[in-house]
Amino acid sequence: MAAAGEQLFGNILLGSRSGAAQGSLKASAAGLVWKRSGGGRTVEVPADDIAGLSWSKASRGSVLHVKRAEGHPLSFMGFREKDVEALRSITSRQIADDPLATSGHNWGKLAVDGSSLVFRIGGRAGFAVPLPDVSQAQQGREEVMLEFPLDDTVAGDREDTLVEMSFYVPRDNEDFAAPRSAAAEGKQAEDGEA
Amino acid sequence: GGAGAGGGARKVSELVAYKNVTDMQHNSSLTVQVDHRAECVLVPIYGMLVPFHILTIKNASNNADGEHAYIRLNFNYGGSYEPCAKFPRSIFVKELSFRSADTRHAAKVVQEIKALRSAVAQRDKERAERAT
Repeated sequence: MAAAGEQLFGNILLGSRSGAAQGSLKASAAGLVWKRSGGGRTVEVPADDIAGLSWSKASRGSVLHVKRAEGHPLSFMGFREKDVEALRSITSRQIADDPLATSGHNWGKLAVDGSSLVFRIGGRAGFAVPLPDVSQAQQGREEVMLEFPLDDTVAGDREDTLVEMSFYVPRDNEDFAAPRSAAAEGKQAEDGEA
Repeated sequence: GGAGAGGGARKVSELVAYKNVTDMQHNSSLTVQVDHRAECVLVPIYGMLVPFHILTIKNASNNADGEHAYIRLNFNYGGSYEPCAKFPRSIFVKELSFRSADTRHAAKVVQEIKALRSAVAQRDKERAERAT
């Protein structure tokens, strides 16, 4: 790969369920490589494993969301707003702007996008959870409940970790088909008493 | 019930916690926290802090289990919740639970959420009564 088509972004956090780790991200035509500060973990995303890129301005720096053909989606945080231009010049992929929801509403649309379960609020990005991370899923008549595994070996336990999430899915809702398969492959789909 | 009940109360469906993402006030840790000014609770979901207006929250609880504590947020949905009638096809976040290694923080933030919840509900109720 040519050095000209390569850029290193310092102080980039990689988000996980139990927090975010500091590191640096190298972007090139070959893909993305994130290295944790002080050594340790490296996450490599070859260009042909990138299924989609999107960009959100957050309260502290901007976020690059990476959908992968294989494996979990990733969120790299702490970019400067203008870094998107550098990223756009390096990658041949489109980087779609995807503003974050700030309304504070608890209603929206739930959809499976690749390996993520995405909740959108007023057409904007609310939050996304990687489905491979879900340890158990149950579907009742008007409810979907997801559990996440407890991992005591994960560093950064100082921060709060999502362990359970449930949604109310009214009977009139029509666009929620995919999690039925998630429920089926998790535990048995419960027939909840609503 | 609660939020949205009473004729003159402001509609939950019309609330906006932040006009802009840059208006979000929070500390840098990925913990459950309260923004009193914006009247909302911020929760960490996969590295991002996601805001929920205090009037979307029905109640908060804290359960200690040895060296960990669980922060559980139950949200409003269904019957008397005004956004449910307005958006009958939407999906609602019903519950979020977090595990915290800091039991003092968990107890404190749950108290803060409860206090903000009742202060805002009380103030809205008084405003609605004055308006009628």
